[in-house]
Amino acid sequence: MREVVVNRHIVPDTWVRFSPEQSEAGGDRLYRLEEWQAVRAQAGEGRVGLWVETDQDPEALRPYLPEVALIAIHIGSFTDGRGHSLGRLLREVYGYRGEIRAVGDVIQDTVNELERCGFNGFSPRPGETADNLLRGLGLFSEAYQISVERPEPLFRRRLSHRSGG
Amino acid sequence: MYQYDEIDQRLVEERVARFRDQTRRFLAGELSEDDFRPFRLQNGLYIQRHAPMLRVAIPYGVLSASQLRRLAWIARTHDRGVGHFTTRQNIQYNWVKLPEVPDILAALAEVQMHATQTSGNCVRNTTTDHFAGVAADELVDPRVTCELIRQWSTGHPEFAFLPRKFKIAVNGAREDRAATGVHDIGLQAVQDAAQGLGYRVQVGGGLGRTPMVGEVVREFLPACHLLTYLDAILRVYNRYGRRDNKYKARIKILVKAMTVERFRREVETEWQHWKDGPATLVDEEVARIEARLKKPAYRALPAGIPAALAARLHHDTDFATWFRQNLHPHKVPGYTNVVLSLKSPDQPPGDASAAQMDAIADWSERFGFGEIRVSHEQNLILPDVALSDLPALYDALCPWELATPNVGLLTNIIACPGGDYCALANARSLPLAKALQDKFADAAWVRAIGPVDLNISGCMNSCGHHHVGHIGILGVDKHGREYYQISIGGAQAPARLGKVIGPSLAPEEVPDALQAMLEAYLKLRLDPAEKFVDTVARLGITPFRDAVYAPNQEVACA
Ligand code: HEM
Ligand code: SF4
Repeated sequence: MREVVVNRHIVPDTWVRFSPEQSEAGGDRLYRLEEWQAVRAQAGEGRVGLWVETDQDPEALRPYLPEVALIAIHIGSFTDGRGHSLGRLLREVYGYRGEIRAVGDVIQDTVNELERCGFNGFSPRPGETADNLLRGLGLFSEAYQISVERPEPLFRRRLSHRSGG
Repeated sequence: MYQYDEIDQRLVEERVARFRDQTRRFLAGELSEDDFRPFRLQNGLYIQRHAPMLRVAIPYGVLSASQLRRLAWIARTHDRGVGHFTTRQNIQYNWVKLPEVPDILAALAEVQMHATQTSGNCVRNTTTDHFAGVAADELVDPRVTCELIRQWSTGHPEFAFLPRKFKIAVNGAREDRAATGVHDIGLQAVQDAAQGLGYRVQVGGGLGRTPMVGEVVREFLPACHLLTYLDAILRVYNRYGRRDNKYKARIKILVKAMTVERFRREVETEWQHWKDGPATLVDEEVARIEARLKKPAYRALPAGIPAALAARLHHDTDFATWFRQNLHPHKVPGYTNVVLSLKSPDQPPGDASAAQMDAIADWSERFGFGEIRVSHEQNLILPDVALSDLPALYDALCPWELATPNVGLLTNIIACPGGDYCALANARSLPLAKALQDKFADAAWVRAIGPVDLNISGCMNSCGHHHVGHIGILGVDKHGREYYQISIGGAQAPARLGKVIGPSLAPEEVPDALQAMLEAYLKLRLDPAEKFVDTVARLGITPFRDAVYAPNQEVACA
């Protein structure tokens, strides 16, 4: 089974893209939003994930956020930075707590920033390995900005450091 | 400049380590050329015509003596002994070797410098008034704002892959010396009687192939909201800016397409989620940064011209000319700011040799407080020089070709590297700059013409700011030959774009064309106080076009 990184651990990828032909099978299924809207009423067992593109409007996902265990954001090219904003919006504005997974053009050199934007799952592109992705995480011991990873900016930590002695 | 604390230092070192590893993997064939490109760009490394070019940030144009010495050392050790100061308060090295770049970045980190985000589709080095903190007409010191933005933008995780590059400029003085109108975001500091310090926020200015002046998105943004508001602008841009066509990917295109009213609404809506949140600035942070900006210990000097200086001014006309042309008023009595022209007749505009840099570093300590500024006119500045030291400083500068009295004049040519180095160029800039220096070698005539900003870009990308030059020259490619298109009437602030006067000219025609226009100006101006650019504004381009192309001659498009 393919390996992915979730919460900084290498785990087998249990998620399968939904196809109408095998709709009865259980397990972890990934749906496009329209697919999920169509089958939602008669969905069977198993966890549900949504497969979205980087230009997805998070507002359209809002009604389904409580019922989906995973949102896979498909990054067509790693230089497309829209997924980074989508990740932050899902976490910080919409309060989504499930897994946000980067799929598509995901390499060692991009996961650090994606993780800071709220992604906690990473599926390596063909030719890249989960081991390498792990190596690409947590490269910096501090960060100036607020992000999902550090909701307070560095200047507030500097401040509490000083006033705390 | 801002002095790093232990965390700032650690962050640049971690950045160097990351790039070192990426370079190693690239050289080992583990990271492909295509994959490596965005990461090397984000660390300042371009591949140019002959060799890789490294662009190093000089945040808000402020350098310490030891930093300038380090830049000299890099020029000597890793380049051919020269550095090129650019219009964006960066320095570029044109002959670096890729495997050595991680070591160069490590050498920079030792003196609290970096090449972070000096290229690539991310937030670039923030630029400002080169007289920040020392100008007589200053409302607020923009360096604190710039440092806040430097920290906010450095390694911002969300905005590493924007649709296109993103440039922010900040101005804190009455005169806009930061060209805020032609940046993706231009911030003009405003002191409001009731609300205190804030910014007027302009968005969507830029040069390049579609030059535009930015639109005001907010008349007054209270200073404490700076970072959350910037986040909101960038997020709207990151999500909605065009990514299908790199020529339409700048924020200016988005603002135009959306209209500024809708863009403003999108930003304000987005902002509501973050406004007053943890990223809202606190006074303590502003005070912390202020304390870390090294402040000179000025002496109490008498205002007015000291006797020895007056005597020298009286009997040495060269010195007097330099004194009139290359100084800028200081806010502290008895001090002045001295512009060191990097535009001597034989020097490519903006170039400084390693030896010159070392000498300038020494003078900054001897005559100032160990600080040097970089201007977007590609000159260096010694701020904080006591008036009484001017004769000694002048005598020191002369043998180094650093006292050419042409600041603000025609021969203070601003030029991009052009076809000699840049792979995107249509035409070379440097030989043309040299030809113009030779043509206008009569310094008295150049002074009689008065203030002229002359800007040269080797192609539409406009790195030489030709759109906002009083005279702008653009390199174009005509059937494989270098030609130059001339525009006039542009201005940096308030930003105004120049108008093209006619068909482009062959390189050897350009110097005569400029001379013809300037002679026409001498006849047409109301009085010597009317600058060339003001005459153009009053009369339009026609008399100048006629001067170049001869009035009745049908203008045949070559
Ligand atoms: C030699 C390598 C260089 C390359 C490949 C390069 C590339 C570019 C490109 C492609 C643009 C157009 C961006 C756009 O319109 O979206 C641009 C704009 C610009 N560059 Fe350069 N450049 C180089 C050197 C320089 C230098 C030396 C300077 C300063 C002297 C500079 C300053 C600027 C400025 C001020 C702009 C226009 C402002 C704007 O972005 O709207 N560049 N450059
Ligand atoms: S204006 Fe054109 S030729 Fe000049 S540096 Fe920029 S890209 Fe190169």
